[in-house]
Parts: sequence; structure tokens; C-alpha cells
Amino acid sequence: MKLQGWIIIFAIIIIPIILVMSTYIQLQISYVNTASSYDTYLDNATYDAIKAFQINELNSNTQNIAQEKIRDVEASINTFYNSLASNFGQSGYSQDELASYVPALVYTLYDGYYIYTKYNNVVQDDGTTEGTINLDSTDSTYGVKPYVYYSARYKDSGTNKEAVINYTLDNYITVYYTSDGGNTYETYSGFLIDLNKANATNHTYNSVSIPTEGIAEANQTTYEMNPNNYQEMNYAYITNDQGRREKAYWDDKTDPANPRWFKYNVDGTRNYQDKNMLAQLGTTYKEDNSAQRYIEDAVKFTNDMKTVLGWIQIGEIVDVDNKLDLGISDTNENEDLIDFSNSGKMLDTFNEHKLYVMRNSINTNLRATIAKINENSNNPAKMPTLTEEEWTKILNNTCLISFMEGQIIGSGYYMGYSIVTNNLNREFVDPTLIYVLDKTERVCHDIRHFDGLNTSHELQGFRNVDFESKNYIATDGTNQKYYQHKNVMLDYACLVDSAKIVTSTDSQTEQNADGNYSVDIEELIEAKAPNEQIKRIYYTALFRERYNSYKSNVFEL
Amino acid sequence: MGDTVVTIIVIVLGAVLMFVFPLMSVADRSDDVSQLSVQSATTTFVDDIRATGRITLDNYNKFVQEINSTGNTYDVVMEVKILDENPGKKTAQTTYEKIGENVYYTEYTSQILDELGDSSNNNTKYLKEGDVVTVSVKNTNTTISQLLRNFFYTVAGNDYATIGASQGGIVTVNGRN
Repeated sequence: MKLQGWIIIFAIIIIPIILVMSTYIQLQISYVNTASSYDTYLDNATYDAIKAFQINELNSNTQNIAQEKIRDVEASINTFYNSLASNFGQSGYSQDELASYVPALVYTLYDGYYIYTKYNNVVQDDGTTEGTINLDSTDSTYGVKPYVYYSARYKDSGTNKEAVINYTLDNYITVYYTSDGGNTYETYSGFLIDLNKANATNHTYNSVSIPTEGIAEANQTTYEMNPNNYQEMNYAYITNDQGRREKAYWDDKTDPANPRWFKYNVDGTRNYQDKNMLAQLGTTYKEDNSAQRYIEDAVKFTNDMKTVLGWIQIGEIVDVDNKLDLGISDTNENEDLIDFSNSGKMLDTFNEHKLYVMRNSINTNLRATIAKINENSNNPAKMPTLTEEEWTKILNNTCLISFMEGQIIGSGYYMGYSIVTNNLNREFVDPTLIYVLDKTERVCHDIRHFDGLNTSHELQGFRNVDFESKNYIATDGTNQKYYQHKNVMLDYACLVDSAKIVTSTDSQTEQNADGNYSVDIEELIEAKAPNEQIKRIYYTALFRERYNSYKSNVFEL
Repeated sequence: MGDTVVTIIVIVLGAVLMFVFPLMSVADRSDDVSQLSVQSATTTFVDDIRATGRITLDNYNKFVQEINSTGNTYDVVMEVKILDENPGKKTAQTTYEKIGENVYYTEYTSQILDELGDSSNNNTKYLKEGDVVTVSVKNTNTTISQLLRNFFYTVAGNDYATIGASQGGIVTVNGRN
């Protein structure tokens, strides 16, 4: 055969191979592209859901209504679908179709989490208010499952002692305890504090004395009096009927000749008569003592816990009746949960163990949820293995974990999840998100921006959320906006650039995966804060805000 | 005789292999580049709207100019879902307006463009916290790569655009202060 003949045979063999190969590669490329654009959609929708959650939560000034939390969660879920549907608009997905591809949305909050998923509806409507319960029901609906607390049960093998502890993101715990095998129960709730660091009689922590403080902010009333140049009003916190903390304002603006306290009712009107307020604050101005009371209560609570929780070793954690395996090695099973004798490191084991419990709880429930989805739905779903870095994110702040799984794209299924941290929320006081307000310069700094804090100025610490704008609906129906701390600029060098933020004590150089130094904020403040005053500002703000944040379980000390 | 035919086929084959395939491949890449720049322009445009709460004529024109500079013509579809009343208003609580509980009504490109053309309103469409904005872009002309592809095989269906981008999200601030 001639050369031309060979060429044709070569072309006939090679061209189909190339065409098939290129189609195959094209398919793979489009799979990866589609998957990555779905990732973006999911990230965007998750971010939007968190943003809506933040805006809703920040603009609500009723700090005490528990139902509002579930309302916020449900509103945020709607936003998630709205956003996802509008992102998918081009591909023709509607909100209802999308729901079947979302196996679960997990809202982790201060002391537990909500899971939104498709679940078996075992309560059937039979016209009565209770309904009938049919455990074999196959009728499934989408909805938020009951709130799950971060709880763990401990059982002493030798005695009849048993305790259930509800953990939270910080050191607040709720304890249900029995010493006689379940005949009588005692309940406790409060903050654990290292007894070697805190002193309740002279209100010191780490040998820094914690003062009472005059705190002031603008509110709806002062804004309405003069929207163009509104004033701040002093306030203090009170405990209301339900044992929760609320703000009471010292009103010397509306009637300067006759100053008095008031608090806001749920509908935004002013209440000058509240009996709790008058009993706790009287009729004269008082500085707020929340931070001091935090220490008093925490020390008392921790001392109480010596008998109630002193017996618990972390190996005694049980699931119903069997020992629960948290993957903790045998060597530290005999460690005390709270080591009252260990000076300065009393809560180290507790903090570490708490994270294991929370992680185990989320993991178990999420696995069960996703397994159930596979029973109920035609679209497959899988539980991903979250990385250590992602767990750190989840266990250190409130966040939303969203899943979108089961769409057929190119040569396979899309399996994606997204985690967005909510660092603007009212319920959890993140110890790293305390901002220092420089009242002289009207600038605010991150607490870790030690260079920027000028101690000759008047400084006071607040939570980051206090610097966000507050919206409310005025009586004429218009939407009004004001800032609690008025015209404050955020310091560029620490909040945008963040290069000036101190994140390491010089002795510790171990970096975590994000490139941040994994230093505990308290260690950092102790090691690097330039003077007592900064420490005082930090602890006072942290204790005040922690003491006054919303708790779902409050039991008398 | 046979030789001539074979030679002609070889020449045609050679021409296809040496010119048309590289051309197709280059045209494809150029579409990819356009796709990338259109996607990033759309993202910037939408993010800008979300962060400022405003759609301005200036920004819109800039966006259109930017995507047209890729050498293709585009159809820009804008959609704004505006947060309306909450039908299940809970007036016992101060914040009866919650993002995610309310119903939306939708405005589309022509309505939005009408508003952008209205100079008495600063040529601006103001949005508020919680509104949802979506912008999607598709090419309307036939790109060289489509032309060459149609020469070999025709893609059936209406949705023949090869360059397309879509971006959407929730507006996070009130545009009107």
C-alpha cells in the first residue's frame, strides 16, 4: 500500500479514538465545572441564610422570647431556599424541587442545635388537639426536628450517683443530678470558673479587680427625640420574672427634672413600672454590676459542683446504660471531669471533653438523619467526613452546616456541603470578638490590637454585635435605623487589615491549619496585654456580656 | 485514478487536521476566556448591588460595556424579588418583619431598566435588606466556535448559548438612607 493509504487507515483508526476521548474528557470537565458552580451556589445560599439570621436576630430587641429563636431559624431556612432557587434560576430548579436535594440543614446554636430535614411524621391529625401517635407511619414531611442539647450522661458504677450535663459553647452548664438512683433529682445551672483565678469577695479574676461600670448606649427613645444627633442613655441589667437578664435604661432625657428607670415592653413601648426593675434598681441611678455578679455566681456555682460533679471521671460517660465510646484513649479515662485540685488548670479536661461530647452528638444525630433520608427519598445522600479544621469551626461558634446532595451531574452525583460560621449573634459571646470602644476618639478596636489601645483615653469593651446598625419599625410604619454607639469608626488596621492583631504568645509557635496560632485568648491576654487596665476592660466586658446573654435553661442557685 | 482520489482525500484530511481542528480548539478557548470574564463581571455587578443596595445606571452601563468587550453580544436578564408584607404578621412581637417569612413580588429587566432611565430618581433603583437580586447573561450571537461546531454537528434546542453566567443573592443593606 502506498503512503496515502496508510495515512487514511491511520486517520480512520485515530480520529474516532480522539473524538471519544475528547467527549469523555469534556464530560469530566463539565462534571468538575458543574460541581464547582454548585459548590458556589450552596456556599452563597448558606451565607445568605446566615446573613438573614443575623439581621433578623440583631433587629429584634426582645431578648427573652424563646419562640423567637425557632422563628429566626425557620425564616433563615426560607432564605436558604430562596437564595438557592434564585441561584439555580437559570437551570430551572424551583424551591420545591430543591428541597428533595437538601438532606439536612444543621443550625448549631449556643447550647445545642436544630436539624431541618425530612422526617417521619408519627403524629397523625385525628381532629383532636393531641393527635394519635403511629410509630410505623411512613408519612414524611420537611421540618425542623426538636432542639437537641449538647448533653451527656454520667453514671457512677459503685454508687447510685448519676448526672446529665448540658454543655454550651462556653463554660455555662446545666446539670440534672440524682444521688439515689433516680428517685429525686436536683437541677443546677451556672458558669464554671477556675476557683484559683476568681475571688468572689473582692471581685478579682487573675488578680485583676473587676469594677462596677457605667454603660451607655443610644436606643429607640433617644433616636426618636433627635434623629440627627441622638444621645446615649445609661443602662443597667435586671433579672426578669423568668430569671433572664434584660436592659433597663436610666431615663434622664425625656423628663430631665424627674429621671427614672424604664425597660422596653415587647411591643417597643416604655415600661416605667416593672416591679422587678424597681425592686432591683430602685429610683436612683446605679452602675451596672453584671461582671461582679458573674464572678460571685460562678464561684458559688463551681463550689456547689464540687459535691455534685466532683465524682465524675470522663470514662463514666454512658449512652442509655452502656459506656459511650467517644474515641478517647484508655489512658485518660480516669481523669476527673473537673479537677478541683489542679491549680490554674481546673477546667482543662472539662474543655477538651466538652468538645468530644458536642462533636459526638452532632455526628450521631446527623448520621441518623442522613440514613433516614436515604430511606425516604429517591436521591442518595451521604454523610461526609468533616475535617478537623471544620470541626474547630463548628465547635467554636454558632454556625450553619448545609448539605446538598443527589443531583445527577455529568457522570455522577453531586455531593456537597458547606459550613458558614455566624460570628454576629446575640446568644453566644465569642471571647475573641470583644471590641474596645475608645470613647475619646470614637474608634473601636479588636481587643487583640494592643498597639492601638491608648490607655490615656476612656476605653470600654463591648461585643462586636453592638456596633451593627439596629433597625426598628416606627409608629408611622417606616423603617428606622440607628447605631447603639452612635458614630463609631472601626479601626482599619485591626478590623480590615488584621495584620496588627496579636495572635501569638511568643512561647507558642504551633500553627493550626488556617495559619493562625492556636492560642487561647485568655492566655494571650495574660501574656501580651500591656497593662492591668486592658485586662480589666476585657474581663469586665466578657463577664458582663456572658452573664446577660440569653440562656434557655436557668435554675436558681 | 485511484491515486488521485486518495490524494484528494488525504489533502482534505490534512487540511481538516492541520487547520480546522486547531481553529476549533482556539475558538473554544476564546469562548472559555469570554465565559470567565463574563462570569467575573456578573459576580462583581451583583455583589456590588448586594453590598450597596442600589442598582445604578452607571454600574449597569459599565457592566454591559465590560461583557460586550469580549466581542460577543449578550442578553442581560435582571430579576429583583422585592420583600413585601408578611401575611402571617405576628404583631405581638416588635420585629414582625423578618427576612424569610415574607412574600416577594418580582420585577424584571424592562421594569428595572425603566426605573434606571428615570433621572428624577437619580437613575437608581433602590433595594432594601432582604430583597433578592439575580442577574443572568447569555450570548445572543453565534461565536466562531459555535459556527465551526455547527459545521460538523448541530446542537438542537433553543438553549444554544455557550457563554452564560448567572449570579444572585440577598441584598444586605438598605440602599436608601
